[in-house]
Amino acid sequence: MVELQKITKIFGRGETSVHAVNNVSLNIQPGEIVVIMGPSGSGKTTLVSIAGGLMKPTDGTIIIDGTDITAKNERQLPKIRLTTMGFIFQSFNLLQNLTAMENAAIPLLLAGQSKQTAFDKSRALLERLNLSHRSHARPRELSGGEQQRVAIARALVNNPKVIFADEPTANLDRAIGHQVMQLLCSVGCEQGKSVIIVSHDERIKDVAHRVIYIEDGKLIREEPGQHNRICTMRAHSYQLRDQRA
Amino acid sequence: MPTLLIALRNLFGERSRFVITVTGVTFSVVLIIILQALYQGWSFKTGQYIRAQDADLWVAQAGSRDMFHSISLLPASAASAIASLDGVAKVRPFVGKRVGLHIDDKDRVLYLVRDDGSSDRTGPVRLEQGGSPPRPGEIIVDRIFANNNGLVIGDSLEIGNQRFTIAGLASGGDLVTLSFAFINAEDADRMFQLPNLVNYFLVKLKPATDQPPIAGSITSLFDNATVFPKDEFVSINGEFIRESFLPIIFVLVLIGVAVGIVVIGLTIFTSTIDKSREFGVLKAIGASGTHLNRIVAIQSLVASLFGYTAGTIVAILLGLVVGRYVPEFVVLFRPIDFAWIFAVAVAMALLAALIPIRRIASINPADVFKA
Ligand SMILES: Nc1ncnc2c1ncn2[C@@H]1O[C@H](COP(=O)(O)OP(=O)(O)OP(=O)(O)O)[C@@H](O)[C@H]1O
Ligand SMILES: [Mg+2]
Repeated sequence: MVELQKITKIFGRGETSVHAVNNVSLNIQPGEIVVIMGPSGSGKTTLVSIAGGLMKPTDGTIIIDGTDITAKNERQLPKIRLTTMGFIFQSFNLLQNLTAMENAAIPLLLAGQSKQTAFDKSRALLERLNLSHRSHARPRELSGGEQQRVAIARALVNNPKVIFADEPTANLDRAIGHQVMQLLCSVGCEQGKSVIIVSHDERIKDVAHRVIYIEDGKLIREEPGQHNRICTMRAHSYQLRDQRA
Repeated sequence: MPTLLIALRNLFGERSRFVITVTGVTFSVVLIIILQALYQGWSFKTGQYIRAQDADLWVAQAGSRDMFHSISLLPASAASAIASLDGVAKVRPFVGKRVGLHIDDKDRVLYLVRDDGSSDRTGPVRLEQGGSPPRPGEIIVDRIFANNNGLVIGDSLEIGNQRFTIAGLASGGDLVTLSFAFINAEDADRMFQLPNLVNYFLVKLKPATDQPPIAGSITSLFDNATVFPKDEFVSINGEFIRESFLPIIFVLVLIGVAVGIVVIGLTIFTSTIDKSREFGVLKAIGASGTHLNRIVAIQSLVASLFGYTAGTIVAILLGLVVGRYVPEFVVLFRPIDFAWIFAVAVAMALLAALIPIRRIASINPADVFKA
């Protein structure tokens, strides 16, 4: 589970300071897919960077899977990111000299897994993402949609608790972007991940359980998404558990 | 190991940069190996005449050091006293002198050795051409000396108002800065004017004789004499080469090392800048500082080791080929030199990796979210 408690981020000081995130609190359950929407400059990327331990908040606490990551130092954070988080970026950000399979295996290799294990898992994930035929291709030989699916495999391969995706479809055409997101969300949901997606794309709402609107760094509105169509089972079970709790 | 995988892919993924790095390191390694091999070759050459003599001990006047820059005089009559010591197999006098001469208005230096023509003569190491021993009025010079000065058998040389005809060409007596030459005993006695004196005694010991006690007995025969074991005398005679060339070699080796570091450093640095986004991504997904540093260090090390290997091969080929055409190009490749130059190549790589490593440390992983 991901808990953001009263997160505030102020860039700069005095007159020129920017309140990029302003007192945002948010809880995301395992298996839950949340889409964050808002105008440009509203603080979405900043919020996700803070939640992912890539940036220190000015104030507030982030608890991921029971660990307060705001209390961790720069030496401890990489390990936490490696084992509990997955990241997906707008510009895919694959390593250009590595094949799809190697790219997807990198987090496991960094975590010290054997090549055998890492490549087996990476191959299995690429297969699940309908990419097994491209597993030996380099990023430049792949289409945008294929690259983003490799990035999804990389984000999932370490079996993280939470996946952060910032504008994952911005560099893809609409139909492909939508397919890729459906894939991410069905796999994420299947495997009980918390998934946080930042997007401008209205159509992404239908892969989300919840849509959160943010403006000027503040959480202004929340509405349910239409995820149920894709991964009803899992969503139901978590909803039930929530109600009991 | 993901760091090895990424490092090798980065390195070999950029062919031209890799070629530049390896070429730069090759250049630097060739420079260092050749300098070192030349220096060792010269050092070795300076001792080759002494090494070739059939003697275990060189007896010299106390206080004298090498043959070429200090004087050693001993009474010739002491030979029989040395010979009668227990454990001494053979004693030979050695008489020689450093002389200057002009050839085509150029100053040259020869070390003239008295060659009495006997079976115990102190003659050339090897005669390559012509006749030996020298008769009165004849001189045997080293082949390299003859080549350098355009001399052939039959040419004449004027040394201190005395004319000599070149009767033979020898090898094994060239010391780069000067060279051994051999003249008849009659000529030597007249020229050197040192009646009843010799410069050194060359002492050959009987098998299984302990050197230190016999050296002690020899010393006590004279008022003032020093006894050098052969190896020590070889090394003393190489000292002037070491003193005059080592500082220069040292500076040139430093330049070679600097070239290597700069080339590796620059190429790995630019490669790191090009790849800074990928390093940022790796940071973001959870690679530790150690992981990233290792990637850069491996890239740098592998490039350096390729350069080292290529440099070693090129240097050895150069040594073989150039040595055939330029006789002064005497190189001596010693395993120990390859070992320390290898260590230098590794050190260059690690030093060169420091700047890119600092650069990587400054990459902010949060920037990866920017498109
Ligand atoms: N490193 C920074 N230093 C100073 N100000 C920053 C920094 N990063 C972001 N900001 C400011 O914080 C605010 C929020 O930026 P952020 O990137 O989070 O917006 P966003 O919602 O992701 O926008 P977009 O949809 O355009 O990506 C903006 O006003 C931005 O200028
Ligand atoms: Mg943004």
